[in-house]
Amino acid sequence: MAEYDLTPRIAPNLDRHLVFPLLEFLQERQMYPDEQILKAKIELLNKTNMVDYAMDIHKSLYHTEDVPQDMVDRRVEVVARLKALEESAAPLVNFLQNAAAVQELRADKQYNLQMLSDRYQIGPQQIEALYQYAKFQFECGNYSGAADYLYQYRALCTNSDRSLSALWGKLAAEILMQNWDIALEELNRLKEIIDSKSFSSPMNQVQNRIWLMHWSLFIFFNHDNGRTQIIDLFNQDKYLNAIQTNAPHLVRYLATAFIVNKRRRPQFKDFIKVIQQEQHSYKDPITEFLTCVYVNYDFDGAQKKMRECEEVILNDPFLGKRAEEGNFSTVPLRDEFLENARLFIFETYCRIHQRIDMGVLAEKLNLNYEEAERWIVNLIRSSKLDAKIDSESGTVIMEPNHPNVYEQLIDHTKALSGRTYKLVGQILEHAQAQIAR
Amino acid sequence: MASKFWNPTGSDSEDDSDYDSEAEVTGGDPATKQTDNKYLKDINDSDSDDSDGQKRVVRSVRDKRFDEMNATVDKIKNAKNINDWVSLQDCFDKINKQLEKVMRVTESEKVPSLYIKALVLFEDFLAQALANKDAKKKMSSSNAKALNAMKQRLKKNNKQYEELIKKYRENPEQSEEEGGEESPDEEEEETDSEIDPTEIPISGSEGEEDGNNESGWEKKLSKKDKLMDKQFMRDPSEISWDMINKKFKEVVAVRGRKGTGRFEQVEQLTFLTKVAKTPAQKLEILFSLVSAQFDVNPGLSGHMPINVWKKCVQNMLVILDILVQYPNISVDDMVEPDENESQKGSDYDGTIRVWGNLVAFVERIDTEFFKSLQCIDPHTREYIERLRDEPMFFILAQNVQEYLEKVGNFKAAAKVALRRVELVYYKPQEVYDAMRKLAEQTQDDADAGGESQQEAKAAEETHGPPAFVETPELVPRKPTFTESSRALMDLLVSLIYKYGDDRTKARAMLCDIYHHALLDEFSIARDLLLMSHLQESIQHMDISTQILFNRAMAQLGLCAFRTGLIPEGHSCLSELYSGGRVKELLAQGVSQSRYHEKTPEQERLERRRQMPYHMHINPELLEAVHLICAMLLEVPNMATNAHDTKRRVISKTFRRLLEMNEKQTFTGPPENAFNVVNSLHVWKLLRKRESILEMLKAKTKEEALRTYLLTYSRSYKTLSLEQLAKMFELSEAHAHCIVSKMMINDDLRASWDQPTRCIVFNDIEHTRLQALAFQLTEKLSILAESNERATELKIGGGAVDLPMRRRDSQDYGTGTPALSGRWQENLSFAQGRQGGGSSGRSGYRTLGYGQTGGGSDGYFDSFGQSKPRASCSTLKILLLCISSISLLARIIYSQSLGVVLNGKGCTMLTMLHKDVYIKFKGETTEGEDYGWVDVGLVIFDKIDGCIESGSNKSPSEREQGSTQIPSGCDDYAASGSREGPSGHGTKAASNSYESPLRCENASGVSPGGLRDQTETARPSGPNEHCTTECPSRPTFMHAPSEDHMATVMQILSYLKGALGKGLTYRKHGHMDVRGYTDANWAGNITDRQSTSGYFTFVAGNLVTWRTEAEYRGMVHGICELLWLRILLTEIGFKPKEPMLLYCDNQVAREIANNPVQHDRTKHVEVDRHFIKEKLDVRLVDIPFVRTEEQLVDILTHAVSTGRFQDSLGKLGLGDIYAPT
Repeated sequence: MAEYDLTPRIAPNLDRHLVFPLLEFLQERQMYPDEQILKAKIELLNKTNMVDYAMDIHKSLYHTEDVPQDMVDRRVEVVARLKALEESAAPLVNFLQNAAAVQELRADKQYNLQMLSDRYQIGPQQIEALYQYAKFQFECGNYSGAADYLYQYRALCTNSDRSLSALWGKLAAEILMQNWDIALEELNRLKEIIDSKSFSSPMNQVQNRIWLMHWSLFIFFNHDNGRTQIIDLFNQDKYLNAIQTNAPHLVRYLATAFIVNKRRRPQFKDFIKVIQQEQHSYKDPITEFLTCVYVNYDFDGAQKKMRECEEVILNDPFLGKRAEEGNFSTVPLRDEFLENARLFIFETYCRIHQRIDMGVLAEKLNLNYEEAERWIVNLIRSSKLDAKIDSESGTVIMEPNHPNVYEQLIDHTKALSGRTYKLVGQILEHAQAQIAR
Repeated sequence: MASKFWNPTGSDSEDDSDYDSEAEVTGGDPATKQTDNKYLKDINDSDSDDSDGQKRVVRSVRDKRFDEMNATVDKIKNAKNINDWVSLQDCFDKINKQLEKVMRVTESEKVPSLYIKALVLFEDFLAQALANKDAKKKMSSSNAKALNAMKQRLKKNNKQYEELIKKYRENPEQSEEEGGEESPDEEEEETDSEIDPTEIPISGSEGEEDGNNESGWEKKLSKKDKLMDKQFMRDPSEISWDMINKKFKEVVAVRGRKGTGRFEQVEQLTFLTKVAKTPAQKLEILFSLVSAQFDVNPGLSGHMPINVWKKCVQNMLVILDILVQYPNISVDDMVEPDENESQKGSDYDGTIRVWGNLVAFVERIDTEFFKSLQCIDPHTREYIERLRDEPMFFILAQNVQEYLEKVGNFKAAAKVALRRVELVYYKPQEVYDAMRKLAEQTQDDADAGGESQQEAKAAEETHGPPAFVETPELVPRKPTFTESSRALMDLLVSLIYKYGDDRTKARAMLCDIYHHALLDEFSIARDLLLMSHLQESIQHMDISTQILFNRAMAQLGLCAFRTGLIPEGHSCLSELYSGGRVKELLAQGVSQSRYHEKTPEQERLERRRQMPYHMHINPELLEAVHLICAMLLEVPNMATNAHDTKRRVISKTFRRLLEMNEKQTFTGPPENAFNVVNSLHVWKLLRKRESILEMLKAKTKEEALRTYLLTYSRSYKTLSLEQLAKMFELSEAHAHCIVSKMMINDDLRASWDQPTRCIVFNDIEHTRLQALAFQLTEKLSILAESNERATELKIGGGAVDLPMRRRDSQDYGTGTPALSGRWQENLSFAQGRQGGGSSGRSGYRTLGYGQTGGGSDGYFDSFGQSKPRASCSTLKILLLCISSISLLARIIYSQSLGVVLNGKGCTMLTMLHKDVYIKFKGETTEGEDYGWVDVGLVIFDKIDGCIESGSNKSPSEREQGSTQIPSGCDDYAASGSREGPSGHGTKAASNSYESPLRCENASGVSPGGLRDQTETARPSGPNEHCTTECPSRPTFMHAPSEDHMATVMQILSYLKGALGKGLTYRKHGHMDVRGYTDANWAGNITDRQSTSGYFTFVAGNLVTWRTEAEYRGMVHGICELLWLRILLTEIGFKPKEPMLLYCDNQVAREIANNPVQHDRTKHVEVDRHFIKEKLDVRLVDIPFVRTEEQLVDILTHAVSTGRFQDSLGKLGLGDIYAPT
C-alpha cells in the first residue's frame, strides 16, 4: 500500500519536528522496513538539537551502545549554546516569570517596550534573545517552553516577519503538544495574517498557504469540529487554487472530509469538477471513488474503489487515527467513511433505478440480505428514501418522483397573485401621488 | 556644339535650368539628341575607344552642373544683400537639387566644395539675420516665414555635412582648391574603372564567398584602390588609427544618402575592418558594417539578399569573437561614447565602450530570415536551402545569449532567448531531430569547408591588406541542441520567465503552450494558458502576438482532440472558425473577403504578417478536427432539441454545413458515415493515427447511442441494455454508464429496471388539457411580467412626472376645459392661502401657480428628494419678469440653492421653511409702478434661510425694503447681509449658503441620489447634462461594472466643477419667447431610447428646459412655449411677437410647414396638425438654426467639452460665485 502513501509529498511542507508523528505512524503500520524509518529519523534529527533522542535511535538501529563521536560533540555544543542563550535571555525570562511585573504590561506595545527598557533595562537585544532562546528550546524538543516564550515574544515583538515566524513556531509547538484547541486558534490567526499580508510575490503567498494547509491537517483530523473546518479552509477559492497549482495530493483530505460530511452538498458538486480537472495530476482510490460514483456512474468500480479506500484510510497518518476503547481499537474515520460512501453509492443508484433486486443491492452494499433489508427499511423510515420493498419478488421499488402536473401548475401560478398585488399597490401609490399634485 | 548648348545663358534663372533639363530629355535639337545618345552609349560600353568623346561630354556636363551651382551661389549672395529670404529659400532648394545632379554626374560620394561653400554662406547669413533683431522685426511676414523655414531646414541639412563644413571653415581656400583638384582625379577614375560600378559589390561578395575567385578580387581591388589605397595600400605600417577613423567617419556620413551605393559602402566597410588598428575600432566598424548590410535592402517588404544575410551572421560572430576575446570592451547603445574611445588599444585595461546593440541586431537578423522565408516560394528548392540556414542563426543567437548572460544583461538575453524559442516551438520532435542532425552535419561540412575558408582567408590576406587585428574564432560555430526539444524549451522559457519583459514573457508563454500541445500534454498546456490569463489580455497585444495566440489555441485544440477531449477541442477551435477567417487569423494566407475590399496598404501589412510555410498548421487537418468535434457535440444536441429551434446551438458552422448538405438535390453516397471520416486523408498527418481513430470510433459510438436514445425514446416503453449494447457495439458496462449519465443529467426521462436490465422510459405525455393549462400559466406569467415592466417603466424606471407633465402642457396648449378648471381652482386656492399672509396690503398683486398649493405635499411624498419642477419653472419666469421690469436686475438662479437674488432693483427673496416670498418693487421699462408684488410659492422644505440683495436705491428705500419683510422672517435677519454695498452683500449671501449647498450636492451625488436623477430625468439645474449623458440607468445598480464606476466618477468630477453653476437673469430689453428643440433618435447606446430636449428662453433668459426620451421634440417644444405663453399672459406680460422655436432639422420644418400629408408622416399626423395649427395662427414660428448653433445638443447628444462650455455660456449658466 506504500504507493498511496503521501508522506514523501507531505513531509517537505512540514517542519522537521512535525514529520516525527508521521514517521512514528509509518513505523507502527509497518509499511516500510524498520531500518529505513529509523535511518530517516536520524537524518531528520541531525538538523535538530534533539541529540539525546538521536542517540537512542542510533543505538536501537545498530544495536550498539556506542554512539558516533560527532553526536557526542554535537551534544556538548548544543548544551553550551543552550546555556549561552539562556543567559542572554535571562533578564526577560525573569521578568516574565515575575507575575507582579507581568501585570504591569498593557495592551500597548510601544508602552511596554518603553517600560521594559526604562525600568528593567530590557532592550531589543533581550527580546531578540528571547526569540532565539525559544527557537532553540523548540529545536531541543521542549515544545511547551518554546510555546510559552513565543507567546510572550509575540506580545513584545515589533518586527512583523519575526512575529510571523514566531506564530509558525507556536503553531508547531501546540500541534506537537496536541493542544488542538489552542492550535486551531493559532491556525486561524496565522491564516488571517497570510491572507492579509502582502507578500513579495504571489508565489510566496501560495507557498505559505500550502504550508498552512499541510500543518492544519494535524489539527483538523484530531479536533472535533475539524472535518467541517477543513472544508471551510480548503474549499476557499484561494486555497483551492493553491492546492491545484502546487499540492494536488491535498485533494485526498478534502475529498474525505466531503464524504464524511453529509451537509456539504452544494459545494460538493463543484468539488467533483475539481477532482475531474485534477485527475491528471493526482488520483488515489478516494478521488477515484468519487469519480466512479459521480462522473462515470460505474457502481461496480465504485464498489471496488471503496474497498481500496479502506486501505488507504488505514494507512494514512491523518485519516487512520485510532481511537482506543478499552482494549479494542477502531479507526472511527474509516467506519464513518464507509458508511457514507455506501450511502453515496446507494443514493445515486436509486436515482436512476426503478426496481432493484435486494440480493444485488445487498451485494453492492457489502451487507448480507437481512442487513440490507434492515438498512433500507431504516432509510425508508427516516424518509431518506422514497421507496417500498416488495418482499414477494425481493425487490425495492422506487416511487416515481415526477412532480404532479397539478402541483406544477399551482407552482407556476402561485407567484402571480403576489406579483399582481404588488403591482396594483405600486400603481395606486403612483396614482395617489398624481392626484395629490 | 553640345557645350554651347549646355552653357548657361546669361541670367541663369531657375526656369532656364529647368528648361534645360527638359530639353535634355525631349531633345528637340537633333544634335543634342545625338550627343545624348552618344553619351548614353558611352556609359553603356565603357571600354569603347571613343574615350575622348566621352571625356568631353562628361566634362561639359560636369562643367555645366558646376556652373549652375556657381550661378546659384552668386544668386544667393545677391539675395543676401537685399535680405530677401524668400528667394534665398528658392536658392536653397535649387542648390540641393543641383547637388543631386552633380553627385549623379560625378558619381562620387564626395560633396563638391562649392556646395559646402554655399551652405556655409547660408549659415553665416542666417546667424547674422537672426542676430539682427531689428531687421527681423521689419521683415515682411512672408519673408520672416521663409527665414524661419530656412533656419530649420538648414539645420537639418547641415547636419549631414557637419564635418565638411567645419573643414571648409577652417581652411576655405584649400578646400576649394582641393575641390578643384578633385575633379580631374575623379574623372580619371571614371574613365579608368573598367567595370560597371554596380557589378562590383556582387562580384566582390562572390569573391569572398568563393575565396578563390581571383579575378573578382582583382576587380574589387582595382576599384577599392582608387578609393583608398593611396593612403593604405602603399605602406600599411604607416596607417594610423586616425586615418582609418577619418575614413570610417566619412563612409558612415554618407550612409543613407541618395546616390550612395549601398553595396559599395558595405565593401568599403569590409575593407576597413581589415585595416582597423584596435579591436575596439574593428568592433565599431563591424557594427557599422552590419547595419550597412541591413541597409542593403531598403524596402520593408523585400528581404535581405541571402548571401548578405550570411555574411551578416558571420560578421556578428566576429563581433562576438572580439567581445569574448577582449572582455573589457562593453557594448552599449545608451551612451554616446567618446570620439576616440576606440583608439584605446588592446593593451588598454579600462573598459572601452563601443556603441552598438547586439540584441537589436540579432532580432533584425532573425526578422530578415523570417522575411526571406515569407518571400521565397515554399515549393522550391530554394526554400529548403534557406531553411538549412536556420542553425546558422541559431548558433548566433545562442552565442549572443551566452555572451549577454555572461555580462549580466539578462533582460537582453531573455529577448534573444525568445528568438530561439520562436525557432523551436513549432517543431515536433521529429523535425527537431532532423534539425539537430542537420546542424551536426553542417558542422562537419563546415570543418571540411573550414579549410577552404582558411584558404580563402589566406587568399584574402595576400590580396587585400592583412588584417591588423587578428580575431581567432572563439565562440563556437556549432549550435548545441539538447536531446529533446522540450528540454531546450524548458531551459529557454525559464530564463525568459525570470527576466523577460511582459511581451517577451507572453510570447514565450504562448510558444510554451504551443509546444506542450504539440507533445500532447493537454493538461499542462491548458493550465499554462489558464494561469497566464493570456486569453483576457491578448486583445491588447500586438498583432503578431495575437497570431501566435491563435496558433497556440489551434494547436491546443488539435491536442485536445488527439487526447480524446472533444468538448475542449471544440471550444478551442470554434472561435477560430466562427468568423470564417481562419486563414487570416492564423496568418496562413490572405483571405479574400467578399464584403469589403482591402486597401493595398492593408493587404501589404497582412502579407508582412504571414507565417512561413513550414510553420503552418495544416488547415485541412484543423478543419476536419473542428468539424468532427462539432459533429460529435452537435448531433446529440440536435436530437435533444429536435422540436425546439430556439435552443442553444453548439456549432453554427456545423449547422450551416449540414443545412447546405441537406439542400443539395443529390447528396453523395452516404455509405457508412464513419467510413467517410475514416477515409479522410488528413489522418495521415497525425501521429499515433491508429489510436486516434480508435478513440474517434468509440466517441462516435457513444454519441450515436445518445442520439438514438434521445430520438427514439418516445417510441419505446422499455429497451433492454443488451440490445442497446449490441446495436452500438459497446460493452454493456459502458452503455450502462452512458445511459446512467443521461438519466442523472435529466437528458433522458427514464430509469433502470435492475432485475430485467432494461431501461424503462417514463416520459410523461401531458394530456391536451394539461398542456393547454401549462400554456395558459406560461402566458399568464408573461403577461404579469410585461405588466411589471410597463409599470416599472412608468413609475420606477421611468420619468414619473414626465408623461403627466406632457399631458399638462399639451392640455395647456389645446386648452382642455377640465384642466384649465383645475388651474383656476388651484389659483384660487393659492390666493386664498396667500390671503392670510398678504391681506390688507393694498397694491399687492398676489400670484400663484396652480401646482404650488396642493402639489407640494404630493411631490414630497412621492419623491422625498425631488423638487417641484413646475413651481421652479414658474418661479424662474417670475424672476425673469422681475429682472426685466426692474432697472438693473441680475438674478441668479441656482437649482441647488433654490433662488438667489442679487439685484440692483429693489428685490428680495425670503425662504421660510416651506414658503418663499418674493417681494419686489420696481418699475417697468415704461415707468409703470407695479408696487410691491408678493409671490407665494412653495419650493423647499429643506433649506432654511434667506437671501437678500443689496439695493442701490436710497437708504430710505432700503429701509422700506427691510420693513416689508413679513413677520416671522427671522432667518432673513439672521443672514445678516441686508446692509452694505451690493457686492458685499452678495458675497455674504453666498458665503452663508456655502454649507447647505455642499450638503445638497453631497446628497445629490450619493449613489441613491444619482439613481433618482437618472430615473426621473427631470430638469435639475446645471446637473441636467449629466443626467442625460449618464448611462447608469437603474438596471446597472444591480450589476455595476467598472464602466459605470468610471461614469460615476465622471459625474462626480462634473458636479465638483459645477458647484457654483447658476443661471443669471439679465435684462435684455425685450420680452420675446424663444425655444430650441432637437431630438436624437435612438441615440442612447444602452437601451436605444430616443432623446429629445428643448430650451425655452423668455426675454433672452433661459427659463425652462427638459430632456427626455420617446417624444417628438418639436411638439414638445411648442407645448412648452404655449405653456409659457399662458403663464406670461397670466402675469401680465403677454408676448406680442410670435414665439420662435429653433429647430435644426430641415425635414422636420418642412413637414411642419407642408400642407400636404404624406403616408410616411402618418405616425406624426396628430402632432403635425397640432404644430400646423399653431403655425397658422402665428403663435409660433419655426426658424431654422444651424446645427452648430443648436443649443439643445447638449441635452440630446454627447458633445465635446468646448462645445458644452460654449453652450452653457449661451444659456447664461455661469459661476454664480465668480466675482462680477
